[in-house]
Formats: sequence, C-alpha cells, structure tokens
Amino acid sequence: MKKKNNLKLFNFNTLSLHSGQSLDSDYSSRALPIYQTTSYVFKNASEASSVFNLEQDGHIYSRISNPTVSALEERLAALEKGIGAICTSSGQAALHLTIATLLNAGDHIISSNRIYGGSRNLLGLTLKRFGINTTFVDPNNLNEIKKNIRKNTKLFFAETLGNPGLEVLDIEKVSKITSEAKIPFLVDNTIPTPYLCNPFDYGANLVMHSTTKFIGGHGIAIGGVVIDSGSFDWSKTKKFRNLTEPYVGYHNLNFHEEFGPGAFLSRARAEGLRDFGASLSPQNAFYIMLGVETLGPRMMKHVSNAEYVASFLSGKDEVNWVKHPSLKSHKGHKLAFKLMPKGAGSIISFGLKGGKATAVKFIENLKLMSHLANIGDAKSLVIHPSSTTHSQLNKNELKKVGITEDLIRLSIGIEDLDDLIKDINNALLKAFK
Amino acid sequence: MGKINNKYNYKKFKQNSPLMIFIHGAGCDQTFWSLLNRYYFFRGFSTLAINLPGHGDSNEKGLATIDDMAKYVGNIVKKYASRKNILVGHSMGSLVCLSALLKKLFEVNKVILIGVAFPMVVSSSLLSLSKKNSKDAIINMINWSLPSESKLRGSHLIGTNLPNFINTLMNKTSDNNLFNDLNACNRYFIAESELNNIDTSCLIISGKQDIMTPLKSSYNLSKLLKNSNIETIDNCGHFHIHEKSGEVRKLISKYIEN
Repeated sequence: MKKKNNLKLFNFNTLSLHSGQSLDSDYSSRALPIYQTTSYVFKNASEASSVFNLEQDGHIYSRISNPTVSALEERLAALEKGIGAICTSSGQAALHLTIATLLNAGDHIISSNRIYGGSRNLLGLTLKRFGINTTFVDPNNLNEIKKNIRKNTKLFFAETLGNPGLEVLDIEKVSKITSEAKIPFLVDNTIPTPYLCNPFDYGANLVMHSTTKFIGGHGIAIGGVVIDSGSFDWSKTKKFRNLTEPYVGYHNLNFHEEFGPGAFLSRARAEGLRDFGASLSPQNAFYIMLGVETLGPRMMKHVSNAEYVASFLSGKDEVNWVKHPSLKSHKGHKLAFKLMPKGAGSIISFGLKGGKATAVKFIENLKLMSHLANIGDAKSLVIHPSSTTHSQLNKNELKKVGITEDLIRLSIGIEDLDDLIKDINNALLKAFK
Repeated sequence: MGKINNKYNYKKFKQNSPLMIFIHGAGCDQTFWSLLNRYYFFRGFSTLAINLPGHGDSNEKGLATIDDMAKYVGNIVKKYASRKNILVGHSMGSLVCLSALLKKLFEVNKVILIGVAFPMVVSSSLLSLSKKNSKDAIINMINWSLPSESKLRGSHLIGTNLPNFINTLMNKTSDNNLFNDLNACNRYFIAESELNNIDTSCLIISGKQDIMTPLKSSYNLSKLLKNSNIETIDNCGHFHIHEKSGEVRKLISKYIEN
C-alpha cells in the first residue's frame, strides 16, 4: 500500500486532551465517565443478534469492548496516527494478542534481542510450547534480519529504544526489509511514547505500548495497547489466512474482504479479546486516560531532566560509562535525533566502577528514587536489570545483549532536577565510602 | 486458500432474495460499506459491494466517466440481479446510480442516494490538487467532509479513529484514480428533463454539516426526482455511514420495508 500523508487536523496536546471522547448524552460530563459495567442492555432481540454477529457496531460485554476503554483506544490511535487500537490488560497482553491474531502453530517470528525481559520470555520460551518459534537478532544488523527471514516468518518485532541498553532502532531501514518480505513490522514504542516518536512515520505497521509506563505516568494501573496503521496489505501474500480466509467463528466472515484496513483490529477484538479475554478494565482505562491528558508536558520534563542527569553522570569520576541517546558518545545519537527530535526518552543506563557490588550499594542509598520493577512513572525509579528484569537470561545471553553486571537502569521522573542530582550525588558518595 | 475477489464482495442469501448493490464514492472501495452490507445480508438480502476499477484491491485501469462506471456496474449486476434490486450509492456512487437508472442498465426497484449533489461540482483547486498530489487532496477532502465532532471527539465505531481510517482507506486507491473520479463527477451532466423522467422510488440521505455535497444541492436533486424523498441527519458530514451508522441504517430500513 502506498504511504499516506498524515492528517494534521489537531496537534498533539489537543488530541491528548480531547480525541475519542464524545460528551455523554445524559449529563454532558466533562470528565470521561467510567462505564463500570460488564454488559449492555439491548434495545431488542434483533439488535442483540446483530451486534453479536458483527453486523453492526455496539458494546456487548466489557471483555470485548467498553465505552471508557474505547475512548482511550481512539485517543491512543489518534496520538500514534493509527486507524484504531485495542487496549489490553497489560503490554504483554498486547504483544500476545497481536501474535495470536496473526500467527498459528508452525509460524516464525524474528525479534530484536534488545527487548524487555518479559517479552523475551514470551517469545523465546512460552510461545515455543505453542509451536511458534522466534529467532532473536541484533535489530540494527540488517543482514542478520534478512538472513533469518523464512517462508513462515510472519512478524518482526523490536523496541524503538531497547530496554535497558537504549539501542536506537533504525525503523526506516528495517521497514524496507520487512515491507519487501511482506512481513508486518511491530514496534514497541513504550519508552519514547507517541509524543517523542511515531514509528508509523518511518514504516512500522503496528505499534504497541505498555501503557503502564509513561502513557499512564502514575504507576497505578497496568495496561497495554496495540495500534494498527492500516498500512499492511494482508491480501498481498498467502501468509495471513486468519485475515484473508473465511472464519467459521462468524459464519465464514472474511475479515479482509469485509473490513479492509480494519481487518486486523476486527479479528483481534472479535476473536482475541473474546477468547483470551485479556481486556483492560474501565477503571484502569480511566486512570490511564488521566495520564494521557498530560503526556506531552510530562514527557518534556522527563526528557529535560534525563538529558541533564545523563550529562551529569558522564562527568563523574565514579562512573565507568553512561548510555543515553542524547549523549554524543551514544552509538545511536544521530539516528535518535532523526527519529526523536524532541528527545530520546528518560531511561538512562550506566555502570559504576566497582561493578555489581557498588551498583547495589548505590541503589540502596538512593532516597528519592524508588527501587522497583517499572519504568515511566512520574517519580524517578531505579533497578539492577541483570539480577531482576533480565535475570531469566543466562550469562552468555546477557553478554550478547549488553546487559552487564554493573548496569544500573534509571527511569528519570519529573521531580525538580536539583533534588534528583542531590540524591544521585549522596548515593554515589555512600557507595564509594 | 480462497482467492480474494478484488472486483466485488458478493454474498448470496437465497435464490431470488432481493439484491442490494452498493457503489462507493470517489477514492473509496467496497469495504466502505462494511457497516451496511453484512447487516442487510443477515436480514434476508443478497448483497453486492463493488470495487470500481482501480479502487481498493482492484488492479484494473480506472474509468474516466460516470457513464462508463455505470456500465461496469451493470455488467457485474447482470450476473447476480434478482427480481428486486435496490441500488445504494455514496457521493460519486450516487451519480453512478443515476446513470444506471437513466440508461436502464438493469431493473432497479428502489434507489438510495447518500451524500449526493446535483450538479456535483468539484472545485478547480481540489481537481488540480488531486491531479498533482492525491495524498494531499485526500487530506483536504477529509477535512471538508468531517464536522469537528467527527474529526476529534469520537467516531462511535469502537476503538476506531475515523479520520485516520478514511485516510488509509482512500490511499488504497491507485494514484490517478482520485483525479479521474473527481473529474468524472465534475463533468457529469444530466438535463433536468431527463431527471424528471426517472420515476423509480428514491431516498436521498444528507448530512446537515456536509460541505462536500451540501444539503441545498441534495434538495435541488430531490425536487427534480419526482418520486423521491429526502432525509437529513444532524451533526453529520459527508461520511454518513461511518459518522452516524445507526441513523443511516434506520433510514434505509424504514425506506426499504415500506
């Protein structure tokens, strides 16, 4: 499909405050109402059967759709410039829903090896039990990607910014390969958020997020989303029979023929949410929507704080190395500026002299930053990935993906910068005492 | 694997079931009708949603005139025509319906014209933009077609961003065809006396905030079609079926059941 021009009907912050939310017809509530309901009363029997049979749109049961969740879906689709979205109970559920919609037992995925540990477990271990195999590659080694494409490869998956190594993905170059090979390209855009980067602008076909992170921003609600650009033509190859052949589940409905660009999302909702049920609750959708409303201003502060902290750490004698794409020393510095001109997020990886033991001391002496397994909270966070988030990888695998024992991951929040610097300084002093 | 039919989407309900024929507008394709054709199929109609050549998955060369498009539609309809045939057109597709009626290409019992204007004048700036850069022309069309409520505040289609969806749908059509379509609309002329001769029952559906095919122009056409009725939809622009799918279905059902 030819590349479309983006609609610029409204700008980012306006969309993040208004898109997707129609005022409720009863009370004109300004805030998004929380439709805390499992189900919806049908007007008559004919409407009931019609909505069940995908003859018309409408809510049936909140496992499949819910008005609060739908408003969030539409808003996230608008921010990522997609045709639509499906919110899920977590980022992992979004990844699983995408795979379960497109792939069958016997199919193959190529994935970046610079990804979140949870995604690595799902792809490398769990899906194997269901007959779906994954080959992990260095995402910026284009030859390695090409070499590993097989007849049954049906998805390429990578993160815009690798976690925790912060490798910058050359979305444009990778998308040329996936497009030629007629493989959909799914990008996990959790770290930059749509405020800093829109992968669809560079040729990605699908985008997912853990909305638990920066999009929510408050660390109170787990959620995920998969967004479709509508740019992948499922009918141009015989690979995607889940979308291009009649589906018995809905009286031989052919999703591609019937819904065109909406085929993937229709099947993912009608089958994936119906059968696997990893849906987002309306209460959590409301919390995440609160975060979306302030995403732009928060990301500006996240980025400005992180860039300063990265530069500050680079100047410290106790620090061996620092990785943040804003630093000229970072391998992906130029590419990051091209893809993310407003900044490359607020995750920083660094290593201290003295290795793991000093890293642990440093983490335990931070007072303001919270030691926990999350990123993207408005509050600053810290963790030691090799012993926690990526601990399922063996030593060789850790080495291959650049997760060294001394690596400390910071998720810089939006506190006052001076207080963050003081906290880091104090912890450094104590770690090296 | 079943072969994808890139010319049309036909669903047969039963032998001799009434047939609903859907004809899309400029730059769109048969999937534009997804909110209607499945609905009516499960209500006892056979349905035929046609891709005009060069639109959507169709690889054929686009057609330059409304009359040629009507002939193309006529040839497909002949294979599937029933004792009762209902023609449904949107925007340019409505002009194709009128051409099919005037030329008596096949038996038509009822006609539904959605978002229609007569004459369907296309501004010279949009025409030249569509020739030069169809992608920008599509963006202009979406901007004019959707009132701000539909652009920003929710599409009523679960999880769908309507402006981006339409942008993607229209970009499936090959590059020159948007200009061909708009030019065909602009050049299509029927004498008022000819329109007066149409006695087939017609329903015209118009969005009150439609700038592409303004209400006034729909009323003009309604006056010329002696057996026609016009229904309007509040807070609705030019993409009636997606903006107000429930209202459109209600109006169509009421009309075809009478």
